[in-house]
Amino acid sequence: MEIKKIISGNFEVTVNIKVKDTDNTYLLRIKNAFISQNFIPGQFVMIKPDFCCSDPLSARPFSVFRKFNENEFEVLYRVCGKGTELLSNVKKGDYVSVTGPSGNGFKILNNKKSQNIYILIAGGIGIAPLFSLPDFIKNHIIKNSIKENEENENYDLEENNKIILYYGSKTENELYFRHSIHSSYDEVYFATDDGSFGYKGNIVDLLFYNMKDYCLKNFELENKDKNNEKDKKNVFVNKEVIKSEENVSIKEQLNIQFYSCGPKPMLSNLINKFRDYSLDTFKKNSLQVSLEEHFACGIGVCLGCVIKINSYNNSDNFIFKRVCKDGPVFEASELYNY
Amino acid sequence: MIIDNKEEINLSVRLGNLFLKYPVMPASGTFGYGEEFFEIIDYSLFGALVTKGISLEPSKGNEMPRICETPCGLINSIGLENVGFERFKEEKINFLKKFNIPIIVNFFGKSIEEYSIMAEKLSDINGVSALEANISCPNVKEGGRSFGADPEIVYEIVSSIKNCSALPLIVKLTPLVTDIAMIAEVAEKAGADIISLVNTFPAASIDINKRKFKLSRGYGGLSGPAIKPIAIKLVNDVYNAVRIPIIGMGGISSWEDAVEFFMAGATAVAVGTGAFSNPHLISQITAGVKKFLYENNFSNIYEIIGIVNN
Repeated sequence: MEIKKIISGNFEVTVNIKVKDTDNTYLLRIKNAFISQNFIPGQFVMIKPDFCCSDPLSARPFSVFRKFNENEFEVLYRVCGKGTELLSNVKKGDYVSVTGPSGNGFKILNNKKSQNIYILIAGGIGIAPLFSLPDFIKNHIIKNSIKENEENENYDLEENNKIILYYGSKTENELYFRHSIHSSYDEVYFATDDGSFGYKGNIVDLLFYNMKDYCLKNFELENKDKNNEKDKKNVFVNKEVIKSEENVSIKEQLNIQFYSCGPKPMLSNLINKFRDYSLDTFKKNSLQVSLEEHFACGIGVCLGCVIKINSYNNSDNFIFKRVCKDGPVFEASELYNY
Repeated sequence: MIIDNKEEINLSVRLGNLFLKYPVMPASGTFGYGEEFFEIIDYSLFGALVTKGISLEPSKGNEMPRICETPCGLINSIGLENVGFERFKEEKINFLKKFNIPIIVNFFGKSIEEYSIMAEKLSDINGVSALEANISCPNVKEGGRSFGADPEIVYEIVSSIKNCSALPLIVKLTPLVTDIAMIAEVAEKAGADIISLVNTFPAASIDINKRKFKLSRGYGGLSGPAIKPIAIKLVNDVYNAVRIPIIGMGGISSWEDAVEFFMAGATAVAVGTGAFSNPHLISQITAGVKKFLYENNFSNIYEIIGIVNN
């Protein structure tokens, strides 16, 4: 049988260190070639530090942060309870029990005929599942081009695909890798609640100040009044790639995909704004969000991690889906009252 | 998984008319309808496949949060979410039939009548090997008290199920009763073929900062290693009270735990929460028990069942 995922395998920890300047965030590196080579950004692994340990009882879910090399992958985690506390005490050379990669992961929707803009919106530790998306997007496009056997000579990958990061947190120290993260993106915007780094305020607000510049004719028309007093706030722009004077007809041909992960208030704010501005009604502007829940099993049997999904076939207008098995990535437009 | 050259060790058991090649199975509600686990493990060392509890009508289940961890335990309040009888029959049973392993269908009702209706309907489905009646759920007509806590109601439910179904009947007891041995005796008298215990223990946990229960419903059912010693004692109580076989469960997370249940009097064991963090657990228990019997010069599982009372 072909391996689809690792089921409670014991693997060596090669690194488990506190991230510089942070109080409680760690980077964990685990030796496993299968996960390193096969995970999709947005997928997660279940990790249990001591296989026989009964307290805490269940393994804990973590997004795969990135592939370190062909044989090792990394997890970025914040100590927030007993399970992560125990994990933070794991030493280099110790073994941990790992199941994964699990869940669906992000979908990349690429359109060869138009310009593609991928906008990532991360809140604090929510950077973890998004971190490897830029590389994944680029590889995905290249692979698809080969599959489609297209004439690639005329296709300019750099010019036709822009990846932009909006990254917010409470304070500077929770903007992980803020000094090095630019290299993967065409533009990076930072925001902190206390103003200690980047724009002072909410990352979702910052995104919406700039939204009209990315694309949306309808957005622009509908929200002229709302936005006229606010200037576009460029904060830590890496490269100026999207020219605001681009005309509307070109903008309409843009394929814009949004990907997000962060604390629930941030995600609800983002999703509600998408709804307010009717952005989620355009199929081409999909917003995918990676959700967090407590899991017991992580494989879809215990039904402890469900989320309400719109459904028009029953009187309640929702059905439950499992975050661990049907997610953790969902289209914002399918979430009921999030 | 390879079980060395200990093939002479016989693990097969007979639970009434239900024959199991191996005395280990998943616990209802922790195995879905068999689809998810099949993606990650193989079922060749499973004694039976046990479905999530089915009711006449589908049930959405409770609001979140539905689970929380406590030291060595897990409290759940899923709310008996299930696809309902019709969808089970149309969409779920055929998958389970592929494996040639006995299928135990767990079910429950909101009233005594519903238990009989369900038993009758399930008996008509081709491929069901046994029924497991969950009598721990609340009896709405009687103010929400568990059906399984009242001996007269237990008698009535069990006998009415037996009247409309010829399948082996497992009665799953709630542990929260004054005298579980008496309830088991009543179930036996009413015609139960097999007793399974324990269901989860009613339990609650509070978030002191939010000053609220951690679960949406306040309380839920506690499972996991925390309940194992209590379950062992209750299994032994029932073993000493009835002659019908017992499926023991409650916090099993290793083959050693399973051996404890056999020694307390269980003829088979079920594994639930333990398989969440270790999906290989059932196969490991089958292999581990076999090795234990071999190394201790036993030739079949019956030699250790209830051994503590010999």
